[in-house]
Amino acid sequence: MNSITIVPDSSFFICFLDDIKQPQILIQILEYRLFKFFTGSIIRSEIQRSQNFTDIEGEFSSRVDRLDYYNYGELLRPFLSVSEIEKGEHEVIVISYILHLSGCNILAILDDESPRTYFRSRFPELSDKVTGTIGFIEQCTCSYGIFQTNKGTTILSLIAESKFRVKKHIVDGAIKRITGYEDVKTDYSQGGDRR
Amino acid sequence: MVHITEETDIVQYIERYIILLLGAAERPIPTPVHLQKELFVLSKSAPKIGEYITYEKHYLGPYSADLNDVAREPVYHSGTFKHDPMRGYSLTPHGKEIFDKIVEANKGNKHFLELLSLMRIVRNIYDKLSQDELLFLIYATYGEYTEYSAVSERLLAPKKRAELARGLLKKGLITEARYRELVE
Repeated sequence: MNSITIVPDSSFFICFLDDIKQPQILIQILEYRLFKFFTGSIIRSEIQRSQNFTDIEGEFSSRVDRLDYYNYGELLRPFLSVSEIEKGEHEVIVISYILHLSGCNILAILDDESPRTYFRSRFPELSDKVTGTIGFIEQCTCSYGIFQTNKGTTILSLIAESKFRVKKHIVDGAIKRITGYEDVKTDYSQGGDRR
Repeated sequence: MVHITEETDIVQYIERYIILLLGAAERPIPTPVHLQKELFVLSKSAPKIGEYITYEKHYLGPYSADLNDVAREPVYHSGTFKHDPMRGYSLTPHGKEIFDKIVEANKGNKHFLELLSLMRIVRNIYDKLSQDELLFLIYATYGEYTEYSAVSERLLAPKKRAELARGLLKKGLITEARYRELVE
């Protein structure tokens, strides 16, 4: 399996640090051998504002590469709202595209629908290279085996009950797919007839 | 004497930025306004560009007289680009050679390659805007440049503003949240 270059927005990190207060889950993701994480200066300063940032400071420094030579997001300032700019969504989009142009297999994590739609619309060649935190947890469980299915669904339930902003049906859909994935996996391992 | 040398170097830098921006996409930059504004937003992203190209308030938004002069008549790299009022600015075959040479000479420079990627993004997004859409977004974002403008009042009038914002949203050029902000 090829390595994946992941560019998350700040809400991804804040989800584990402040919303569900499970920094060890974030560390487990950061340490996964196939993942390379990148961030820019706006996202980083947003995360550092969390009172719980010290819980992951060491792993964050060693596992998350910085791209901060330019003010990357500034190119998109006219196209995104002030609140999207403040959260650094524009930075995620530009950094993701730069890394894509340099040959990386990228995955952008954008939790707000509005910038995610913009990303897909402006960079259609990357339309399947963007997801949200919920979709990413699903991938971590079903595609990369970072979490066992029961842990994956527990994390999603914790997120659904926290102040993390997500619609219930999105979490329910992800839990259902993870559960369905477990059923298929069990069928395979028991030699069941897949037809 | 030193002063002249510095100025000379600035001209060379501006010419190279123009060549790189033109070479970043396989199509012309539509208008002189696009050329001015694309390098303006790049100077926000890469402040080093702003050291060579300085912008002032003008009747069509942020404007660099140096950039205008160099775009009309390059000194160091003459014959590298041309302007056709119908098609816009494009590199000549000689300009393409110079572009390739600059890229080849800097292929090991990570920051240069990032700058080239930023230019590709700018071309990919800003080239597609009409002149009115481009100026509208520049004025709505960098309000200080409405001073001395001959067109900002027309573009920012409520009816025109709503029409332009709606068109930009429909084409997927702005986010839903930005649309709401622009029409409020």
